[in-house]
Amino acid sequence: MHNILMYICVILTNNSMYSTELIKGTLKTIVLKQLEQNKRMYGYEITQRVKELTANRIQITEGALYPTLHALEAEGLVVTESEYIGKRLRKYYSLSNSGQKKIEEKLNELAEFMETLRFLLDLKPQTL
Amino acid sequence: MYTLTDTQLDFIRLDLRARGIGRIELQDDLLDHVCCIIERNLEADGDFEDYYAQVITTFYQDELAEIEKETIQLLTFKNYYAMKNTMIRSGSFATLLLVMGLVFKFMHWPGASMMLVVSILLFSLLFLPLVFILKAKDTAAPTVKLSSGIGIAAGMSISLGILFKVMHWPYANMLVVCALLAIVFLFLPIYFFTGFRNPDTKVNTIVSTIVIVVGCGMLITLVRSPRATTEEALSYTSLYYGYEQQLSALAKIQVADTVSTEGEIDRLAWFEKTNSVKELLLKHTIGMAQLPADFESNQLLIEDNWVNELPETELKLVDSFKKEVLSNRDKLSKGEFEVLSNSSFFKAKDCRIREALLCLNQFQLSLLLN
Repeated sequence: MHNILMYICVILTNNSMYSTELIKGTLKTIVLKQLEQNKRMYGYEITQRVKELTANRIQITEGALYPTLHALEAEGLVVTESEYIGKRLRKYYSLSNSGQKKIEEKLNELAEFMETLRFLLDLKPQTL
Repeated sequence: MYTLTDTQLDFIRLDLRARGIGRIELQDDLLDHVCCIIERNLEADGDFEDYYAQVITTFYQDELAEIEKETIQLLTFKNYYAMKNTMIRSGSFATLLLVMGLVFKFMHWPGASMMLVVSILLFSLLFLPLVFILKAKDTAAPTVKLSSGIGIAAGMSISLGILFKVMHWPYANMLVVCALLAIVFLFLPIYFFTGFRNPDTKVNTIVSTIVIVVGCGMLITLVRSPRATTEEALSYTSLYYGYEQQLSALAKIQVADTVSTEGEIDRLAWFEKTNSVKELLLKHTIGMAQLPADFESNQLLIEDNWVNELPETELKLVDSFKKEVLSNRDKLSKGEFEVLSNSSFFKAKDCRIREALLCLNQFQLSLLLN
């Protein structure tokens, strides 16, 4: 995951936060990869983890995260378990069996896309 | 680290709901998320309300409800391809079934009406709504959405109306007429003026508007005018009234002459039985058991009703009478006048009440004359 996120940062040489439009298309893959590495996570945890890993460059907004999580759940790629934290309910998301199978495909697709984009826009790799 | 109280949790939940988050799962997610942010970032003695008001605005651009809208859109997008597939399959299947149903109908093979009913139901209740949903999803303009919504609703109403008509179910004409009115007075104005203003669609709009107006006009041409309906009902009623007068005069003479012989069926009893069936039918169509002499001035006309429209208990009586007559066919149709084999009332599953009354008159006449 680290590589992928770094790659995104590398392609787009911008020092501040990336726009929501740019993140939207890759968000499903980012979320799935996080869940693969961390087994089960709740929404806030995902946003924090991605923020940390990318040194604040990718900040997933709530408005983008939850619709994506719910869509992934409807597609059967993630499953949820709920736990009560005091009086409030916390939903933990984790990969389903089909989600585990799908993740490889999603990563390859994104990697290929980034490669094409790099070629198309004639970008030079940079480090974070 | 701040600790949230139960009241504050309820406050947040109510606020989320008031800001347009209706889906419970989304409410739970966002509630937990807000709470996490507050608990981690607010000092123990911080101002909850102030901080919450700040945090919640970072969740959206214009309004919080956009998260819910986005979720719903993503969820429907997932069904988009399934819906498109279902639309194409249901449409093709309905067309195939309709064509087969028509062939079966004209060949008088069994199963035709079932095929027609299923195909029209599929077409109007599955195919057309899906066409609308997918079309509405693809177009952003509210006027296009509105006009296609009205158009599709009118289409559903027309096809259901036609189905109701052929099945002799009630409200058939009303469905078709309402749909035609909606097309002419609601759909066409919106469709015409939105399309006419755009130079790209101008010619197309004019052509389709002409086609739609002429199409509706031709459909309306097929509808009988109310005056013609009344005149037709009047001529049937007069005909029936004339028969009825002659029949009762003849019956009086016959009763005086009747000498019942051994082994003969009781013709007068059958005559009376037939009268009671006629009363049932008349009661259904004009609300009275006997047709009075002043039927025309009181507008008591035998309308275009069908025998099967009778209430269930009465229909059973009519059916059992039919069966009884047919099982005694040999004895009843013995003689010079045989009417049963050509009578639509006795032979067909359903016929118009006016036709049934005339058939029953014929049957009674044959009872008297044979």
